[in-house]
Amino acid sequence: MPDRALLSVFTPSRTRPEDLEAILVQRQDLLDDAIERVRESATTDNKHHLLFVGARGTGKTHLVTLLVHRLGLVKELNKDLRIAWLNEDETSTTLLELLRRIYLALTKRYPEEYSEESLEPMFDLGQPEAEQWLSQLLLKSLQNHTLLVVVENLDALFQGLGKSGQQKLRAFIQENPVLSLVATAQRLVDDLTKRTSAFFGFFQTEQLKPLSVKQAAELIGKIATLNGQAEIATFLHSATGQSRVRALHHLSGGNHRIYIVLSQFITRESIDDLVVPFTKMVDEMTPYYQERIRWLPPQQRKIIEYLCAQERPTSVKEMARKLFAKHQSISSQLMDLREKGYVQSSPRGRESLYEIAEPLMRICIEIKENQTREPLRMLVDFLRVWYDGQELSTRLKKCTTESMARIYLTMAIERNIEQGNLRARLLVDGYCAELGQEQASQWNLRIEAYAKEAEELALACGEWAKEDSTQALAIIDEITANNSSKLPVVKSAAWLLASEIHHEEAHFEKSITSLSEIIVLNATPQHTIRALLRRAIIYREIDKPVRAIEDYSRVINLTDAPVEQIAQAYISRGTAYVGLNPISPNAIYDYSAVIDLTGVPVDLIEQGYCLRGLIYLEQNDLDKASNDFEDVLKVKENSAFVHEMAYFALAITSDINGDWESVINSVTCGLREGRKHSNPRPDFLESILGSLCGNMLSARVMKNRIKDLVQAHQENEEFSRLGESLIGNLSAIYRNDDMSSNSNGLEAWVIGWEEACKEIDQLRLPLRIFRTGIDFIKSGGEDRGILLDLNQEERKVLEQALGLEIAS
Amino acid sequence: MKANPGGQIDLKEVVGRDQIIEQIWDTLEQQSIRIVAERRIGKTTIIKKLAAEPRDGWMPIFQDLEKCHTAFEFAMSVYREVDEFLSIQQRSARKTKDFFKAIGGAEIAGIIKLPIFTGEAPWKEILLSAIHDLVHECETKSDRPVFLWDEVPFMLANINEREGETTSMEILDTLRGLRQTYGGDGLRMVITGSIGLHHVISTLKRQNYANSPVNDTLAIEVRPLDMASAQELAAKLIEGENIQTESLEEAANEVAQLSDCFPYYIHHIVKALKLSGLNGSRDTVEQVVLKQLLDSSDPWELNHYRERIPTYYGDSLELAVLEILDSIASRSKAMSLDELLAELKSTGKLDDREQLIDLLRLITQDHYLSRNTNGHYHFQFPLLQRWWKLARGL
Repeated sequence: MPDRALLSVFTPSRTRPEDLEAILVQRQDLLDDAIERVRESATTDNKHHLLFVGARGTGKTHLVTLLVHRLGLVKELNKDLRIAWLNEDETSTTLLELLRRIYLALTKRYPEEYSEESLEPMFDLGQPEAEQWLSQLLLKSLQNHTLLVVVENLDALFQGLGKSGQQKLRAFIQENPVLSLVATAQRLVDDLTKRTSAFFGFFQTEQLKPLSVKQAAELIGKIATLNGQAEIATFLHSATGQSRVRALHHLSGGNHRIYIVLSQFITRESIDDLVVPFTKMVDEMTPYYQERIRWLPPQQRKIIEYLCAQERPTSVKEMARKLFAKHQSISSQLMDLREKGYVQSSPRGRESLYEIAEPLMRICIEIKENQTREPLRMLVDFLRVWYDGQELSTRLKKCTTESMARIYLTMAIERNIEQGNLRARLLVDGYCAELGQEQASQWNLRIEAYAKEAEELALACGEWAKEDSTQALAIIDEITANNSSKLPVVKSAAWLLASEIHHEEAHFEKSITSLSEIIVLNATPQHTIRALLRRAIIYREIDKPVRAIEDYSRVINLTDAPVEQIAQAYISRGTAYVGLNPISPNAIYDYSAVIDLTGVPVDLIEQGYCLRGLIYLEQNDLDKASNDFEDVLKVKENSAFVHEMAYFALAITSDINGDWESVINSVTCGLREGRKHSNPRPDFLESILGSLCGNMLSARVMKNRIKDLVQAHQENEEFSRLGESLIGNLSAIYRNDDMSSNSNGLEAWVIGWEEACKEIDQLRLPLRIFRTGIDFIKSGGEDRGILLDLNQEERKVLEQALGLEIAS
Repeated sequence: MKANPGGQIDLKEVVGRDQIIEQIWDTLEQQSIRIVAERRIGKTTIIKKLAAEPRDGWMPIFQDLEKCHTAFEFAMSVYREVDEFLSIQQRSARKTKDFFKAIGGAEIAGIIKLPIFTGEAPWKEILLSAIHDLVHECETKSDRPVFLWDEVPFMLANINEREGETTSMEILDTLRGLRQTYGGDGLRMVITGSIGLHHVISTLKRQNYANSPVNDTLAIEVRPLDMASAQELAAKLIEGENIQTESLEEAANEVAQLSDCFPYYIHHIVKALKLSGLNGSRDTVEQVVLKQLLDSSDPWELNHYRERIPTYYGDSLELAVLEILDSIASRSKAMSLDELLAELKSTGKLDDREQLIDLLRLITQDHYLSRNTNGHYHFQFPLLQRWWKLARGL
């Protein structure tokens, strides 16, 4: 294995640039863009000034180090560009000091052109004269080169220079347009943003963003590759690898620096391999955080210390109360702390809740308070994310008594019981953040449910939600692999999910294969039944009703299947029998079986009655049909949808019996029920219209019946439905030779509707389409010119209704 | 050319400023000039172009004066430029050098080192003799000197802070005196700066300064680019950034429209478009602009239009100014004086017609508002109006 690369945590400029290049993530485009702008500054009179803003540890130095490195590699730039990369730890309080630092930086990089000795005469002058002298020396020695000054911590430099120093610097740049600045800052200070400040609007500012989980995985993967650990790069793609990245993300708050520190842990399996190095790492990091906290003004420090001790995000009101401070004062300090990257806020209702942006910072305070060598809370949380619930328990069982690992594992389990599974919560939160609000609300519950069952399932579901079905299926393959140690029930759930994904992508055979795996595995009766029912549905979709019937029969014959699912299987098998040509008499047997079963939910019984009634109706057995529909209506708790269907079916039986009054009563009741649900509307009304149109009724009777129908729809404000049925009726007429050839009858039919509906605005459009459709049919159904009475959109509706080829 | 918001622009690439530059040279034939405009509209670019490409017979000297914090620094800075200029012509600032010698100054490594002054430094003498030397030497060469002074109000504010208002007043009066004395010899000044000179003079007037030190100069306002130039600039930048477009003309037109033809915003929009990785189209340009306007970090620094109100108009008038701007921003039509007065009266923010007229004059001078041909008030820049509405939740 090659030596590990030295990745300096605090001074990336000391890391080999090639290594920094190898681990660059998220900022390739930004860096390329910066290079191009510096190149333009060097080779033209356009001078760009770039500023990268980001909190500590967000990779600013990494970025400028690479910028300087890459510029150095562009040989042809050497004739146009000189780079002065200022030491970030030095400070300047005057323009003179800054110019001197610039000059000295040039002596280091270009010793043949610049020498420290040449500064000697300057020291005999007073400050203003020295400043003038050095400006001239610098400008003269640059000759025709553009000077790129790389400044880190520009905010600190400006603070040192003060207003007059900044003004002098800006005047120097304006009067001598040979200089381009590339700077970094932790925050946008007033010296940069106030319109009265000298450098207002001067820089092209880019805010550096924290890494997302995905980018973090990329970073850790690159570090592993750099260190020759190819297996880690592969591991990161696994479900466990991704969970671990999430654990690290939780601790780091998206901070580059912390990722680099934490990347060493990614493949640690045993608790001992984690606890000891983690504690050591905490020990090493503590001075860093302590220094950061110490650097703050007293009130901000108090706020940070308070927040470090909190388990959950805290409101401003609560903080003000606990710290004996004014609400407004805490609020303004928090704004400042947020800008500095110390805290982050999330809205809840009208207030904002604040928490420490980098959870690792909490350790610092904890270490200080923790003099009794109690377990580190942070490490406990880390383990809660590192291991899933099952792993925590398994590892605890293997631990010897009184070991440190045992104490940590016990605490992790206890805290999970007390506060819920942190690992699952982070996973769900992570996906919700990636999905966006609308998508998140659609998937949230499902991912959460999977997270409780098995985390990998949640991962697969999350990837599917993100529309990355390939990744989702790859995770499922990992779960279901022969050598996978996952429990059969988890494998079975994974196959169920896979079948859904395949089904959505219309890969029916693959979906069937996944479901068949579940049936063979038979991990739980519940999964087996679900798989059989789903497989049957797919068989029906791909027109294999006999196979579907076999699957339904298997469910029906399972002795331990719940009655509800048996009933569902009966209903579905009956419907599959109906789909056979000719209709199998077994359908009536199946629907009757549902009606006769005990303990079946009411809605399934209703479906049984309704579906059986429809078969009787089809067989012209009107008495039995009416009995079944009336039985449906006797059930009080049944659904509006079933009621509606029963009423319309009764209307049809009444129509066949010639009882128009009952037809209208049933239609009115059916429409009323229809308004109570949002399911698709049954198309029984079209049958009634078809029968009315086809009967040789007198013009007067027909008009009266049309009026009755219009009134029934008017009472229920269902004109749009009537409009759809009228257009549907055109199709029935067009397909029926007897009706379509009866020109006079058709004219009377359409006039009847036109008269009955002339005052009804909502029906104007459907009637116009209806009229044109009838005219077209009367003309023999050939003359497409008739359709031109309608506009393009209306024509399309009619063409679709008649099944005509849509004219281009 | 790449988008370069805030940076220095190659003067050969400057677009759409030929006309104002011609106007400035024409005016300079007669008198000195003060350039007024909003910050970041491109004043410095214009005066640098004047310096780099002078009209025949002119000898420009460009200085960024924000570096000066005392009258002495100012005088020495002017002297140094004069001296450098004359030495290139193989002439010398003789009178000034004699003066330095007389007060005990010495030249070390080409730099004048003066003794430490116990009382007030003789800035006025140095300034007067340096200008005298310049005019005298130029007379013999028939080139006319023109000082291009940037950030003059910053310098005056610095001197106010360090040495008091009296010195600032003296500087303004001395400069006016120099223009009168040497105007006939061709001396001209172009004075400009980021903060309105009228605010500095108003501050001085509150200290009983009664003169009108710049009313001998002609105020020339730098406006945003005309539409054709704005489109040209946008197209140039889109090409320079290699942004893909289906129609360069359409994308450039959208950038020009949405930026109100401000070159600074044109640069910003194109840069943001580049970094977004999007192609250039009407939709993507609109998307980028809206993102910038809603960005809480205020990348275009528009919030200063809100923040400076108490500073510019005083705390007592802050609410009245906000009410005026809110009222106008939320309407699609311009508002008359009477409509504004009625609105302010109904909200109890202001009820004095004369005070409102004064206030509107100042708000207009500060580029918030303009007046149409009916004298009605509307936002000068639609972009600002759009931001104001978004930022103020109107």
